[in-house]
Order: sequence, then structure tokens, then C-alpha cells
Amino acid sequence: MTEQERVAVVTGTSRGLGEAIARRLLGDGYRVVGISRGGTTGITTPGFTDLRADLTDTDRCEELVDQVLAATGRIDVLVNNAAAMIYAPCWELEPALLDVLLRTNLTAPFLLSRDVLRHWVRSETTGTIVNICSIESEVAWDSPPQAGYAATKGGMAGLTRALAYDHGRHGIRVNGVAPGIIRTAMAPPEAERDLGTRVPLQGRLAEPEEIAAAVAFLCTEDASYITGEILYADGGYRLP
Amino acid sequence: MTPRFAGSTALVTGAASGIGAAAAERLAREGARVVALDRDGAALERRYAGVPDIVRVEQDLGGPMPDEFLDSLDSVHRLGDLRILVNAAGVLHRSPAIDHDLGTWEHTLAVNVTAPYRLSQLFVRRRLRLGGPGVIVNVCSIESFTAAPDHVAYTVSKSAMLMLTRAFALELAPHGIRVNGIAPGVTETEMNRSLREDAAAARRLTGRIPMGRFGVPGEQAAAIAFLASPEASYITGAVLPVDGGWLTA
Ligand SMILES: NC(=O)c1ccc[n+]([C@@H]2O[C@H](COP(=O)([O-])OP(=O)(O)OC[C@H]3O[C@@H](n4cnc5c(N)ncnc54)[C@H](O)[C@@H]3O)[C@@H](O)[C@H]2O)c1
Repeated sequence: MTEQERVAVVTGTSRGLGEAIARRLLGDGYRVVGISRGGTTGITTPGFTDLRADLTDTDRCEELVDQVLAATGRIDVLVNNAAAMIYAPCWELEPALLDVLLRTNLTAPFLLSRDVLRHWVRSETTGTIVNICSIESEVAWDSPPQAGYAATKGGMAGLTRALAYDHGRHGIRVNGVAPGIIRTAMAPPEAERDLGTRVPLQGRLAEPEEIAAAVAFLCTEDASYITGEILYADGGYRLP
Repeated sequence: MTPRFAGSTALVTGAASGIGAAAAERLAREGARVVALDRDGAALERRYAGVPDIVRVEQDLGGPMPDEFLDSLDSVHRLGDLRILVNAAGVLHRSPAIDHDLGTWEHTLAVNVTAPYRLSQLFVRRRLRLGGPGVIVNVCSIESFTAAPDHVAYTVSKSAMLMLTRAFALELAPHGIRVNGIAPGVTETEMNRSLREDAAAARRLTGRIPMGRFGVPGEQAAAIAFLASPEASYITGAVLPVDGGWLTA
């Protein structure tokens, strides 16, 4: 079996970090299935498959792994990257909006992971999952306020540990990467300007490729004894 | 493709055995010139005699280190572009806390905390003087986060190393010098050979590890190499557990 044949499923590939992760894994020799709501038009590399799905739709999430397997026959890597962000003071966040956050950022990763894990265990194969967490898996963020998002990213850390704990015995590794502030559309413009000053490492935001490199590392054999961990690629943001 | 550490020199402590040795060999394989330091000169000789890119330095890190330490190494071994420091030397003394004597305590702190602190300091002075990037990787432990029976001095020293890593990372980040650590779980080295050879103890330990097995030094070295490489360019102040999932529960 060559690297060439390996399949990685990455969610949220239409832009930003997800796109960078997909490009990186393509460069590392994976075939990549990119899942996004509106489609991924930016990547035209052979080996990339554009799969459309709205991850807030739980019924749709439950079909996705089967759909990918039917097309590719295998999945080696799952990267749960897609996430919704809603800025609102906590006392104003409507339950319906919180529900969107929970479904996109936790339920969809759970369902995709569950189905991929089920496939690996039943077929006696293995693979690895990388969940994109956040510095907000550990610390709060207030400008602008985003308590709902923080809650989901804290939950993502728990999901990572729980799935790793339960499946270590099958040789399946589950890890997280917690990016600092990335230069993507998700960081609000004022973040780009001001927030660099809060980052110890040369006062700069992360390039998406630097986060993708951490994801790629966790997918390699070099990470063969690493499971249940959250790797913070945050330029030292949480240090002070 | 040029090997990712081509042109740089790495100083690795505890390089005669276990994780330090695996790190020295891994960095050398990826193009670094490696200065392998250990108190056990005979073991260094056995492991590296005739290996082209690894030079040997017999040095006990349990004592004071003069400000000129790296300069004197430089005059003998040409440190060149010394960009990477791996603090892997460490000692583990096992006995109940009430039986730890002061000598054991002080020696553990000297080797596991003061030596990495001093070496990092001298490494950084040299880096700032010569300019250019630098990276430090400290070999911490799962005991930087949890306790283990009969390990009081060791647990304390490894927890100190965790904060040493973070404090240095914070101070050095503006200079583009990254400081990270790995936190190995139980890894097959001399440090725990007797424990692993006791079948009941080994079963108990692997039963505690979600992946159901011990780590091997090469797996620790792989994480060290990643953190030392430009691939980790936005990672600083991180201590990456490499523990088969030990810390998840
Ligand atoms: N093996 C594990 O399970 C494990 C787990 C967590 C952390 N670690 C850490 O990994 C590091 C490497 O340990 P290892 O497991 O490879 O053990 P090891 O005993 O195989 O290697 C340690 C090396 O450090 C050297 N050393 C000890 N005291 C020294 C001194 N005063 N001066 C110079 N060199 C000295 C030893 O000679 C030896 O070569 C240590 O810091 C240890 O605390 C190991």
C-alpha cells in the first residue's frame, strides 16, 4: 500500500485553514475528500474530491462516511476542521444560534468520528483523527465576545481525549491541534491589526500553513505514540 | 530534498542512552551536526565511535557550569551554527518521599532543572550574540502533569522543567527563539528497565496506557525533531505529551 492511495477526509475546505490542510495533505501524497457546504472551488489538484454537505444537518452527517467509503474504499485520516463562529455577548446568544454552534462544532465531528471509528474497528484497519481545537479549548476570549464558540472548543478537547482513550487499544490515534489566531477570514479584521501584539512569538498571527504542518505531523508515523493530546500551535499565546 | 537540519549544529544532553541517544541519531540522520553530551564517556564512545556527524563530549551536568562552558566546547568541537539544544539528560531516583535524603533531592534538581536552565541560558546568550533563529526542546515527562509513587524529587523536577519551558518561551519569543518540550510516557530505556522486566509491574503499567504498550525512544526523538524543525514555526511554550494516551485519563 503506498502513500499515494491513502485517503484523508477534511471538513471545511472551502477556505482558510481547511483549505491549507487539504493542500498540505495533498502535497504529502494523500487523496483528499474535502467536505464543505458551498463547495471547494479553490483546489483543483488531481486527487482532490469536492463533497458538499451542510454539517448542521445531522441526517446528512450520518451518510457522509458511507458515501466517502463507497467512492474511495478507505479512509486513513479524518480532520474535523469545519467550525461555525458567532460573536455575541453571552447574555444575548439565542438558543437557536448556540444550537448551530453545537451542531457544527461538536455533533458533526462526533458523528463523523464515530462512523470512521466504527469502520476502522469493524474492518480491523486503523487510522488517525485530528480535531481542530482552539486556544479557547483552554482560555477565554472576549474581543469580540464568543462564549458559545469557547464552549464548543472546550467540548472538542473532551471529545479528543475520550475517543483517544477508548480506541488506543485498536491502534487508532485521536489528537487535536489548537491554533492561535490565524490569518484567515475567521479572525475579524480588528484582530489582524491589534491581536498580533498579544502574541509573544514575534507579535505575529499564524499562517494557515504553519497550523497545517502541525496537523500533518500528527498524521505521520512520527507521531505513532501520540494520542489524546492537544498540540498548541499558538505562538505562545497562552503563556503569560 | 535537503535534509531539514542541514547546516545546523545541535547540542543534545543525555545522548549516550535512551531518548537523548535516539534524538542525537535522528537529528544527525536529518543533516545536523550533533554534539552528544553525557556523563558516561564510555557509553558515548561505544555508541558513536566512527559516526561522522556526531562528536562526543563527556561532561557531568550535576555540578556548576561556568559562563564559558559553550566557548570552551566551541574551541574543541566547533559549535558553528549551534541552533538546536535538546535537554534530555535526566536522573530518576526511586524511594518513598519520607526516605528521600537531601543529597538525592539536590542531585535530581541539579541534573533535571539547574543544568537545563544553565545550558539554555548559555545557548541563548550565544544565539543572541551571533543572531539567527534558535530552538530548545526540553525532555519533560508525564510527571510534569501528574504524580507517580516514590518519585517525589523527580516529579518536582519535571514539573519545574515544564514551567522553565514556558518561562523561557515567553521571554525568548520576541527574539524568534522557540522553546518547547515533550512529555514522554513510559518509554523503553535504561531508566525503567528493572520496572519493565518485572512482569507484574509491566502488565500493570501497560494496562494503564490506552495504546496498551510502552513507547520507544525513536518515537520520542521523532517528536523532538518535529518541534526542532521549521515545521513547528508557530509552536512555542508547548509541552507535547508523547505517552500513548496516558494523560487522557
Ligand atoms: N524513559 C521514560 O519512560 C521517560 C519518561 C519521561 C521522561 N523521561 C526523560 O527522558 C530523559 C532521558 O531519559 P531516558 O529515559 O533516555 O533514560 P536513560 O537513563 O537511558 O538516559 C539518560 C541519560 O542521561 C545521562 N545523564 C544522567 N545524569 C547525567 C549527568 N549528571 N550529566 C550528564 N549526563 C547525565 C545518562 O548518562 C544517560 O545517558 C530524561 O530527562 C528523563 O527524565 C524518560
